[in-house]
Amino acid sequence: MTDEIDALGAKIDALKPKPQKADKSGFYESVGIRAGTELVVGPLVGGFLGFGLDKWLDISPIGLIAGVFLGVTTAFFNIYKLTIYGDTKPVAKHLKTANNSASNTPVKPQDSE
Amino acid sequence: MASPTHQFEIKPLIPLEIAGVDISFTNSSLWMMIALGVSICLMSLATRKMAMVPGRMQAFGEGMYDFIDGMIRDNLGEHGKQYFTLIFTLFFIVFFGNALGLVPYSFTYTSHLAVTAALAFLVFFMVIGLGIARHGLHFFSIFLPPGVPAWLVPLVFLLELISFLIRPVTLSVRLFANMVAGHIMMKVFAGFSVGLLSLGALGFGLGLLPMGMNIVMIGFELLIAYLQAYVFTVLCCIYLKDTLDLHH
Repeated sequence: MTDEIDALGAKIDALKPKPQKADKSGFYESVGIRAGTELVVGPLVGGFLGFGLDKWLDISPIGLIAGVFLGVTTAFFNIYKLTIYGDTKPVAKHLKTANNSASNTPVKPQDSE
Repeated sequence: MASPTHQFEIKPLIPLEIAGVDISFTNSSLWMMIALGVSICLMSLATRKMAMVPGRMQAFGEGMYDFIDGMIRDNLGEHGKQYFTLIFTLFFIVFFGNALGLVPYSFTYTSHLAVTAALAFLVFFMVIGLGIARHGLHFFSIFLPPGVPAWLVPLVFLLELISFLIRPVTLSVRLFANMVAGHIMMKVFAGFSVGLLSLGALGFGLGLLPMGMNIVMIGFELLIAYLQAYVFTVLCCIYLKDTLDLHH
Protein backbone atom coordinates (compact mmCIF):
# COMPACT_ATOMS: atom_id res chain seq x y z
CA MET A 1 0.00 0.00 0.00
CA THR A 2 2.71 2.50 1.00
CA ASP A 3 4.61 1.55 -2.14
CA GLU A 4 1.60 2.47 -4.22
CA ILE A 5 1.26 5.80 -2.42
CA ASP A 6 4.95 6.51 -2.93
CA ALA A 7 4.68 5.66 -6.61
CA LEU A 8 1.65 7.94 -6.91
CA GLY A 9 3.56 10.69 -5.08
CA ALA A 10 6.46 10.34 -7.52
CA LYS A 11 4.02 10.54 -10.44
CA ILE A 12 2.42 13.71 -9.03
CA ASP A 13 5.85 15.27 -8.48
CA ALA A 14 6.80 14.49 -12.07
CA LEU A 15 3.62 16.16 -13.34
CA LYS A 16 4.01 19.31 -11.23
CA PRO A 17 4.96 22.33 -13.35
CA LYS A 18 8.50 23.53 -12.77
CA PRO A 19 8.16 27.03 -11.30
CA GLN A 20 10.05 30.03 -12.70
CA LYS A 21 10.97 28.18 -15.89
CA ALA A 22 9.27 30.76 -18.13
CA ASP A 23 10.70 33.66 -16.13
CA LYS A 24 14.22 32.32 -16.65
CA SER A 25 14.03 32.28 -20.43
CA GLY A 26 12.59 35.80 -20.37
CA PHE A 27 15.53 36.81 -18.20
CA TYR A 28 18.13 35.66 -20.74
CA GLU A 29 16.30 37.27 -23.65
CA SER A 30 16.04 40.51 -21.72
CA VAL A 31 19.82 40.49 -21.21
CA GLY A 32 20.28 40.07 -24.96
CA ILE A 33 17.84 42.85 -25.77
CA ARG A 34 19.54 45.20 -23.31
CA ALA A 35 23.08 44.65 -24.61
CA GLY A 36 22.19 45.91 -28.09
CA THR A 37 20.70 49.24 -27.01
CA GLU A 38 23.52 49.79 -24.53
CA LEU A 39 26.02 49.67 -27.39
CA VAL A 40 24.06 52.16 -29.54
CA VAL A 41 22.98 54.65 -26.88
CA GLY A 42 26.29 54.80 -24.96
CA PRO A 43 28.37 56.55 -27.67
CA LEU A 44 25.34 58.65 -28.72
CA VAL A 45 24.75 60.14 -25.28
CA GLY A 46 28.49 60.38 -24.58
CA GLY A 47 29.00 62.29 -27.81
CA PHE A 48 26.00 64.51 -27.11
CA LEU A 49 27.30 65.40 -23.63
CA GLY A 50 30.77 66.06 -25.06
CA PHE A 51 29.30 68.27 -27.78
CA GLY A 52 27.41 70.25 -25.14
CA LEU A 53 30.65 70.67 -23.19
CA ASP A 54 32.32 71.93 -26.39
CA LYS A 55 29.69 74.61 -26.90
CA TRP A 56 29.73 75.62 -23.24
CA LEU A 57 33.51 75.84 -22.64
CA ASP A 58 34.46 76.52 -26.29
CA ILE A 59 37.00 73.66 -26.41
CA SER A 60 35.78 72.05 -29.67
CA PRO A 61 36.50 69.27 -30.67
CA ILE A 62 38.11 67.85 -27.48
CA GLY A 63 34.78 67.41 -25.67
CA LEU A 64 33.15 65.51 -28.53
CA ILE A 65 36.12 63.15 -28.93
CA ALA A 66 36.42 62.49 -25.19
CA GLY A 67 32.64 62.08 -24.91
CA VAL A 68 32.40 59.48 -27.66
CA PHE A 69 35.34 57.53 -26.22
CA LEU A 70 33.83 57.61 -22.73
CA GLY A 71 30.46 56.58 -24.19
CA VAL A 72 31.99 53.61 -25.99
CA THR A 73 33.87 52.62 -22.82
CA THR A 74 30.66 52.88 -20.77
CA ALA A 75 28.80 50.76 -23.29
CA PHE A 76 31.39 47.97 -23.20
CA PHE A 77 31.71 48.26 -19.41
CA ASN A 78 27.93 47.87 -19.09
CA ILE A 79 27.84 44.93 -21.48
CA TYR A 80 30.64 43.31 -19.49
CA LYS A 81 28.64 43.77 -16.27
CA LEU A 82 25.50 42.55 -18.03
CA THR A 83 27.12 39.33 -19.20
CA ILE A 84 28.83 38.59 -15.88
CA TYR A 85 26.20 39.75 -13.36
CA GLY A 86 22.95 40.09 -15.33
CA ASP A 87 22.57 43.83 -14.72
CA THR A 88 24.48 47.11 -15.00
CA LYS A 89 24.66 48.22 -11.37
CA PRO A 90 27.86 49.85 -10.02
CA VAL A 91 30.76 47.42 -9.62
CA ALA A 92 31.37 47.29 -5.88
CA LYS A 93 27.94 45.80 -5.12
CA HIS A 94 28.79 42.87 -7.32
CA LEU A 95 32.24 42.50 -5.78
CA LYS A 96 30.55 42.19 -2.39
CA THR A 97 28.02 39.60 -3.51
CA ALA A 98 30.74 37.66 -5.30
CA ASN A 99 32.80 37.53 -2.08
CA ASN A 100 29.78 36.52 -0.01
CA SER A 101 28.75 33.70 -2.27
CA ALA A 102 32.34 32.44 -2.49
CA SER A 103 32.77 32.25 1.30
CA ASN A 104 29.69 30.77 2.96
CA THR A 105 26.18 31.58 1.75
CA PRO A 106 24.77 29.15 -0.80
CA VAL A 107 24.45 30.71 -4.23
CA LYS A 108 20.87 31.53 -5.18
CA PRO A 109 19.62 29.58 -8.21
CA GLN A 110 19.11 32.81 -10.13
CA ASP A 111 22.80 33.74 -9.74
CA SER A 112 24.35 30.34 -10.29
CA GLU A 113 22.79 29.39 -13.62
CA MET B 1 2.44 50.62 -52.34
CA ALA B 2 1.91 52.64 -49.17
CA SER B 3 4.97 53.91 -47.36
CA PRO B 4 5.96 51.59 -44.50
CA THR B 5 6.28 54.54 -42.10
CA HIS B 6 2.84 55.90 -42.95
CA GLN B 7 1.37 53.88 -40.06
CA PHE B 8 3.24 55.98 -37.46
CA GLU B 9 1.70 59.25 -38.59
CA ILE B 10 -0.11 61.21 -35.88
CA LYS B 11 -3.49 62.47 -37.05
CA PRO B 12 -5.44 64.99 -34.98
CA LEU B 13 -9.00 63.71 -34.52
CA ILE B 14 -10.31 66.65 -32.48
CA PRO B 15 -8.12 69.73 -33.09
CA LEU B 16 -7.57 71.68 -29.87
CA GLU B 17 -5.27 74.57 -29.08
CA ILE B 18 -4.93 76.32 -25.73
CA ALA B 19 -2.60 79.33 -25.33
CA GLY B 20 -0.65 78.45 -28.48
CA VAL B 21 -0.01 74.87 -27.32
CA ASP B 22 -1.33 72.14 -29.59
CA ILE B 23 -3.17 69.64 -27.37
CA SER B 24 -5.33 68.02 -30.05
CA PHE B 25 -6.96 64.68 -29.36
CA THR B 26 -4.98 62.50 -31.78
CA ASN B 27 -5.15 58.86 -32.85
CA SER B 28 -2.34 58.27 -30.35
CA SER B 29 -4.52 59.68 -27.54
CA LEU B 30 -7.44 57.59 -28.77
CA TRP B 31 -5.45 54.34 -28.54
CA MET B 32 -4.13 55.29 -25.11
CA MET B 33 -7.75 55.71 -24.01
CA ILE B 34 -8.61 52.32 -25.55
CA ALA B 35 -5.68 50.68 -23.73
CA LEU B 36 -6.89 52.32 -20.50
CA GLY B 37 -10.44 51.08 -21.14
CA VAL B 38 -9.28 47.53 -21.94
CA SER B 39 -7.12 47.27 -18.82
CA ILE B 40 -9.89 48.68 -16.60
CA CYS B 41 -12.42 46.27 -18.11
CA LEU B 42 -10.08 43.28 -17.71
CA MET B 43 -9.28 44.09 -14.10
CA SER B 44 -12.92 44.80 -13.14
CA LEU B 45 -13.99 41.54 -14.78
CA ALA B 46 -11.21 39.76 -12.89
CA THR B 47 -12.36 41.15 -9.52
CA ARG B 48 -16.12 40.99 -10.15
CA LYS B 49 -16.84 37.53 -8.77
CA MET B 50 -14.39 36.75 -6.01
CA ALA B 51 -14.36 33.05 -5.25
CA MET B 52 -12.22 30.68 -3.20
CA VAL B 53 -11.67 28.63 -6.35
CA PRO B 54 -10.92 31.27 -9.00
CA GLY B 55 -12.80 31.34 -12.28
CA ARG B 56 -11.08 32.02 -15.58
CA MET B 57 -10.98 35.83 -15.27
CA GLN B 58 -10.07 35.79 -11.60
CA ALA B 59 -7.23 33.35 -12.32
CA PHE B 60 -5.96 35.78 -14.96
CA GLY B 61 -6.10 38.69 -12.51
CA GLU B 62 -4.36 36.71 -9.80
CA GLY B 63 -1.76 35.54 -12.30
CA MET B 64 -0.97 39.13 -13.30
CA TYR B 65 -0.78 40.17 -9.66
CA ASP B 66 1.56 37.26 -8.85
CA PHE B 67 3.71 38.04 -11.88
CA ILE B 68 4.29 41.71 -10.94
CA ASP B 69 4.54 40.82 -7.25
CA GLY B 70 7.23 38.22 -7.99
CA MET B 71 9.10 40.70 -10.18
CA ILE B 72 9.12 43.29 -7.39
CA ARG B 73 10.09 40.68 -4.77
CA ASP B 74 13.04 39.50 -6.89
CA ASN B 75 14.35 42.94 -7.82
CA LEU B 76 13.31 45.27 -4.99
CA GLY B 77 12.82 42.98 -1.99
CA GLU B 78 10.06 43.25 0.60
CA HIS B 79 10.24 47.06 0.84
CA GLY B 80 9.45 47.32 -2.86
CA LYS B 81 5.73 46.81 -2.14
CA GLN B 82 5.23 50.59 -2.10
CA TYR B 83 5.98 50.71 -5.84
CA PHE B 84 3.50 47.96 -6.74
CA THR B 85 0.87 50.29 -8.25
CA LEU B 86 3.46 52.17 -10.30
CA ILE B 87 5.08 49.02 -11.70
CA PHE B 88 1.71 47.37 -12.38
CA THR B 89 0.46 50.45 -14.23
CA LEU B 90 3.67 50.83 -16.23
CA PHE B 91 3.54 47.19 -17.30
CA PHE B 92 -0.04 47.52 -18.54
CA ILE B 93 0.55 50.83 -20.33
CA VAL B 94 3.52 49.40 -22.22
CA PHE B 95 2.05 45.94 -22.81
CA PHE B 96 -1.29 47.18 -24.17
CA GLY B 97 0.48 49.82 -26.24
CA ASN B 98 2.51 47.06 -27.89
CA ALA B 99 -0.21 44.42 -28.10
CA LEU B 100 -3.08 46.63 -29.32
CA GLY B 101 -0.73 47.93 -32.01
CA LEU B 102 -0.92 44.50 -33.65
CA VAL B 103 -4.68 44.90 -34.27
CA PRO B 104 -5.25 45.92 -37.91
CA TYR B 105 -5.96 49.67 -38.43
CA SER B 106 -4.79 50.43 -34.90
CA PHE B 107 -2.08 52.83 -33.80
CA THR B 108 0.94 51.81 -31.71
CA TYR B 109 1.52 54.66 -29.27
CA THR B 110 4.69 52.99 -27.91
CA SER B 111 6.23 53.49 -31.38
CA HIS B 112 6.70 57.18 -30.54
CA LEU B 113 9.81 58.28 -28.69
CA ALA B 114 7.79 61.06 -27.01
CA VAL B 115 5.63 58.48 -25.23
CA THR B 116 8.38 56.06 -24.21
CA ALA B 117 10.73 58.88 -23.19
CA ALA B 118 8.00 60.42 -21.02
CA LEU B 119 7.60 57.09 -19.19
CA ALA B 120 11.38 56.60 -18.87
CA PHE B 121 12.04 60.14 -17.59
CA LEU B 122 9.20 59.77 -15.10
CA VAL B 123 11.08 56.86 -13.51
CA PHE B 124 14.47 58.61 -13.90
CA PHE B 125 13.40 61.80 -12.09
CA MET B 126 11.53 59.75 -9.52
CA VAL B 127 14.76 57.88 -8.71
CA ILE B 128 16.72 61.16 -8.36
CA GLY B 129 13.99 62.92 -6.34
CA LEU B 130 13.20 60.06 -3.97
CA GLY B 131 16.90 59.11 -3.73
CA ILE B 132 17.94 62.59 -2.61
CA ALA B 133 14.90 62.95 -0.34
CA ARG B 134 15.65 59.66 1.44
CA HIS B 135 19.46 59.52 1.44
CA GLY B 136 20.38 63.21 1.10
CA LEU B 137 23.70 63.90 -0.60
CA HIS B 138 24.75 60.37 0.29
CA PHE B 139 22.69 59.33 -2.75
CA PHE B 140 25.53 60.44 -5.03
CA SER B 141 27.73 57.68 -3.62
CA ILE B 142 26.22 55.42 -6.29
CA PHE B 143 28.72 57.09 -8.65
CA LEU B 144 31.64 56.18 -6.39
CA PRO B 145 31.36 52.55 -5.38
CA PRO B 146 33.72 51.66 -2.51
CA GLY B 147 36.45 49.11 -3.11
CA VAL B 148 37.73 50.68 -6.34
CA PRO B 149 41.54 51.23 -6.53
CA ALA B 150 42.41 54.93 -6.03
CA TRP B 151 43.96 55.40 -9.48
CA LEU B 152 40.77 54.12 -11.12
CA VAL B 153 38.39 56.38 -9.19
CA PRO B 154 38.19 59.28 -11.72
CA LEU B 155 37.56 56.89 -14.64
CA VAL B 156 35.01 54.75 -12.77
CA PHE B 157 33.24 57.91 -11.56
CA LEU B 158 32.89 59.17 -15.15
CA LEU B 159 31.77 55.77 -16.43
CA GLU B 160 29.17 55.36 -13.68
CA LEU B 161 27.96 58.92 -14.25
CA ILE B 162 27.44 58.33 -17.99
CA SER B 163 25.98 54.92 -17.22
CA PHE B 164 23.44 56.65 -14.95
CA LEU B 165 22.65 59.39 -17.47
CA ILE B 166 22.03 56.98 -20.36
CA ARG B 167 19.48 54.99 -18.33
CA PRO B 168 16.35 56.88 -19.50
CA VAL B 169 17.66 57.00 -23.08
CA THR B 170 18.34 53.25 -23.29
CA LEU B 171 14.99 52.54 -21.64
CA SER B 172 12.99 54.65 -24.10
CA VAL B 173 15.01 53.96 -27.28
CA ARG B 174 14.88 50.18 -26.75
CA LEU B 175 11.09 50.09 -26.60
CA PHE B 176 10.50 52.64 -29.36
CA ALA B 177 13.05 51.11 -31.78
CA ASN B 178 11.69 47.58 -31.30
CA MET B 179 8.14 48.67 -32.00
CA VAL B 180 9.04 50.73 -35.07
CA ALA B 181 11.29 48.03 -36.54
CA GLY B 182 8.73 45.28 -36.03
CA HIS B 183 5.88 47.22 -37.61
CA ILE B 184 7.97 48.40 -40.57
CA MET B 185 9.09 44.83 -41.22
CA MET B 186 5.50 43.55 -41.26
CA LYS B 187 4.44 46.33 -43.59
CA VAL B 188 7.33 45.63 -45.97
CA PHE B 189 6.47 41.92 -46.14
CA ALA B 190 2.82 42.76 -46.74
CA GLY B 191 4.00 45.11 -49.50
CA PHE B 192 5.83 42.20 -51.20
CA SER B 193 2.57 40.25 -51.35
CA VAL B 194 0.68 43.16 -52.90
CA GLY B 195 3.49 43.83 -55.37
CA LEU B 196 3.60 40.20 -56.53
CA LEU B 197 -0.16 40.28 -57.30
CA SER B 198 0.61 42.29 -60.45
CA LEU B 199 2.27 39.15 -61.93
CA GLY B 200 -1.11 37.41 -62.28
CA ALA B 201 -1.75 33.82 -61.19
CA LEU B 202 1.96 33.06 -60.66
CA GLY B 203 2.23 36.19 -58.53
CA PHE B 204 -0.76 35.14 -56.47
CA GLY B 205 0.95 31.83 -55.62
CA LEU B 206 4.29 33.48 -54.90
CA GLY B 207 2.57 36.21 -52.89
CA LEU B 208 1.50 33.62 -50.35
CA LEU B 209 5.14 33.20 -49.28
CA PRO B 210 5.60 36.69 -47.76
CA MET B 211 2.11 36.34 -46.29
CA GLY B 212 3.20 33.15 -44.52
CA MET B 213 6.23 35.04 -43.29
CA ASN B 214 3.92 37.70 -41.89
CA ILE B 215 1.93 35.09 -39.98
CA VAL B 216 5.17 33.99 -38.30
CA MET B 217 6.03 37.65 -37.71
CA ILE B 218 2.74 38.31 -35.91
CA GLY B 219 3.53 35.54 -33.42
CA PHE B 220 7.03 36.89 -33.01
CA GLU B 221 5.72 40.44 -32.52
CA LEU B 222 3.39 39.19 -29.77
CA LEU B 223 6.42 37.73 -28.00
CA ILE B 224 8.30 41.02 -28.47
CA ALA B 225 5.29 42.99 -27.17
CA TYR B 226 5.34 41.00 -23.94
CA LEU B 227 9.13 40.86 -23.68
CA GLN B 228 9.58 44.61 -24.13
CA ALA B 229 6.96 45.35 -21.48
CA TYR B 230 8.71 42.85 -19.19
CA VAL B 231 12.17 44.36 -19.80
CA PHE B 232 10.81 47.90 -19.32
CA THR B 233 9.24 47.09 -15.95
CA VAL B 234 12.16 44.97 -14.71
CA LEU B 235 14.56 47.83 -15.47
CA CYS B 236 12.26 50.30 -13.70
CA CYS B 237 12.39 47.98 -10.67
CA ILE B 238 16.20 47.81 -10.83
CA TYR B 239 16.50 51.60 -11.11
CA LEU B 240 14.01 52.21 -8.30
CA LYS B 241 16.11 50.01 -6.01
CA ASP B 242 18.55 52.91 -5.56
CA THR B 243 15.79 54.83 -3.75
CA LEU B 244 15.39 52.05 -1.17
CA ASP B 245 18.90 51.08 -0.10
CA LEU B 246 22.19 52.18 -1.60
CA HIS B 247 24.55 49.51 -0.32
CA HIS B 248 23.42 45.94 -0.04
